[in-house]
Amino acid sequence: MSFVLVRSALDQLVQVLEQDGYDVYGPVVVDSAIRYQLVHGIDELAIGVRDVQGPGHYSLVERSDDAMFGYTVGVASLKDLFFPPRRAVWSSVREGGTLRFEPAERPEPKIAVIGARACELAALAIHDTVLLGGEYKDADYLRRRTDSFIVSVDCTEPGEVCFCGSMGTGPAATTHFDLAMTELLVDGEWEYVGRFGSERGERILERVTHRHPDQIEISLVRSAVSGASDAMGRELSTVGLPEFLASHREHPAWADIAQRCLACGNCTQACPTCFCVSTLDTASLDGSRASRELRWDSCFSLDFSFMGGRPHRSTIDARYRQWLTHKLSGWVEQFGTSGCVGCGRCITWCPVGIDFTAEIPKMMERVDA
Amino acid sequence: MPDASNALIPRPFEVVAKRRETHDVTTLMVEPADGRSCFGFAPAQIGMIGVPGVGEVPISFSNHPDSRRCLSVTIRAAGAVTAAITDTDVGATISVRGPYGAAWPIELTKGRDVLFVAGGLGLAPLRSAIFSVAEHPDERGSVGIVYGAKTQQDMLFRGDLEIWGELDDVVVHLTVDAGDDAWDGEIGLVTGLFERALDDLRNPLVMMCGPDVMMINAGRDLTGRGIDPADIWVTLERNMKCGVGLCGHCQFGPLFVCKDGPVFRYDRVAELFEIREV
Repeated sequence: MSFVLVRSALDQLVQVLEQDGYDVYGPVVVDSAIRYQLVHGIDELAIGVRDVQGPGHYSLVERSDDAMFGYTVGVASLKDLFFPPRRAVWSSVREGGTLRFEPAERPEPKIAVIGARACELAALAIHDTVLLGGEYKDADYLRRRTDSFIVSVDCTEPGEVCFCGSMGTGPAATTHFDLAMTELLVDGEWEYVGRFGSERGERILERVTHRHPDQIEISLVRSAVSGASDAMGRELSTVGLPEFLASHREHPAWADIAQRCLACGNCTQACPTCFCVSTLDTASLDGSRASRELRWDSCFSLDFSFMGGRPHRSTIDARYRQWLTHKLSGWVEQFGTSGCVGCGRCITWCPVGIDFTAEIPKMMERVDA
Repeated sequence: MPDASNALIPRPFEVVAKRRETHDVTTLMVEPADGRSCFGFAPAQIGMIGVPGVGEVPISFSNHPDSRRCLSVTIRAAGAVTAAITDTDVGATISVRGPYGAAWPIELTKGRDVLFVAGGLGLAPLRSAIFSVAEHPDERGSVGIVYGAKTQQDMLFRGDLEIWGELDDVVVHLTVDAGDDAWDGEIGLVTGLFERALDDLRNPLVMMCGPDVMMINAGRDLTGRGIDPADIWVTLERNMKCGVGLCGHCQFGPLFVCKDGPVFRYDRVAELFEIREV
């Protein structure tokens, strides 16, 4: 049930996926940050870099080795691929007194990802529930997810803002992958010790040079992953947290946080699970043609709650409360899981460094005091 | 049932008639313009109504629920989308999809007294429910209708209110925020009419629609008069972009107004009502 690839075999993997019609995305350094980009070979990946993350801080530094997955998480998650920021919904034509709606054309290729993290797969599982689990499905997301192929790489060096251990989502992938691997340096050579997540994964790997791992390699994987669990930069106690937040909507902490919060919405854009969208219509000058697209929205904007001529959530504390209480409390009631996977992006990409893993314990202390 | 895989694709509906209800509220009667039949709805269910190129808004259907040929939407021109919809001429086409959400619990009115409470535009989502209940005197008890508007000129469906008031065991109570020489009725909040309305009713089921502040005050008042919170039903309005639980806009605490509501039992939302800007 497991396999070992040497680094050059990863190039074969990319080629096999391309032969099968996939667009292959992998972590690439773009504009001084790691993002998923279309790649054709592993030499394009973010080799030999490490990310330094903290509240309101992200930078890349050179590693002392040439690890290929030696960073934690990039600025953008798989959300960019499966739930992109702008998606066409329909176009309409008015002709001779009739109005006709055409669903948006969707000819795009199948998506394959190499290097997805466990927390990102947990986010994907959440999106599958939110966007496909109800009576009405997100048709565009369904199309992108169908036949997608995911190769995950476990984290062996968690970052400063990571708390996947608290959220039960990492550092090793347990779900929603076709192939999962751990990157190990064994006797000076990079090895990718992997396991299968699907039959599709097994069929693809048959066409890639691989061997079976030995006992030493299997135990090396175990210690690398458990070492990562022990070195997690942050933690969040989730016991009783949904109930606490639901019953403290009028806590003074909301106003304190709102004094720092810029309501910029960065946290919602960086979050791998935030799914709120707005619609944007465009029309030709004569009005005969129009189209609608879905765009990522943010509960931090005033427009988000606009109703009857004014925003319903006019204050930043109400908007921050909406975001956090939804993410950690309402989500559980709505979808049976937390909306947080512990990736820490909302901490890193907050321009003023608001860190709810620090804010929540303070809130709880103020109640206890 | 709309095609689940294409929930966001609307259908073209032709405006077959328009009625100006007040200076800023218009009712449009619309029929399918794609050769397919019209869909039915249950009272308070919403449609996403729009003008291509401008946008879409959630509106409860206001017509008689037995009408199979066309739908009515009653809309206050408050923003760009609602203005574009109400400006649509008879013969022109708008976009419609639905119906979505939970309906008024009409089945619970069987054999019971019923109190309808409406404020302002809130009479529109109640209109189809009032038809459903008031027109069947053998299946229900006594009915009270309490309706408040800013002024007499802002009252919707004045013809219907007269007709309903003439039905057996139906009493209509009206009030305005500001009266004038032509108004010899009550002046004040809807809560000021409750004592009289409840005189005629025994243990009524309450259905209520209006601005949040009206429903908060009315809910407190009615429960203070001994009405069981589980016998009060409200319908909420929130910003919506999809109507089907995918856009996130309409959340009210853990609830999605579009798919969990828009009709809620009062005891499920009463606590959230009391909190500012939930």
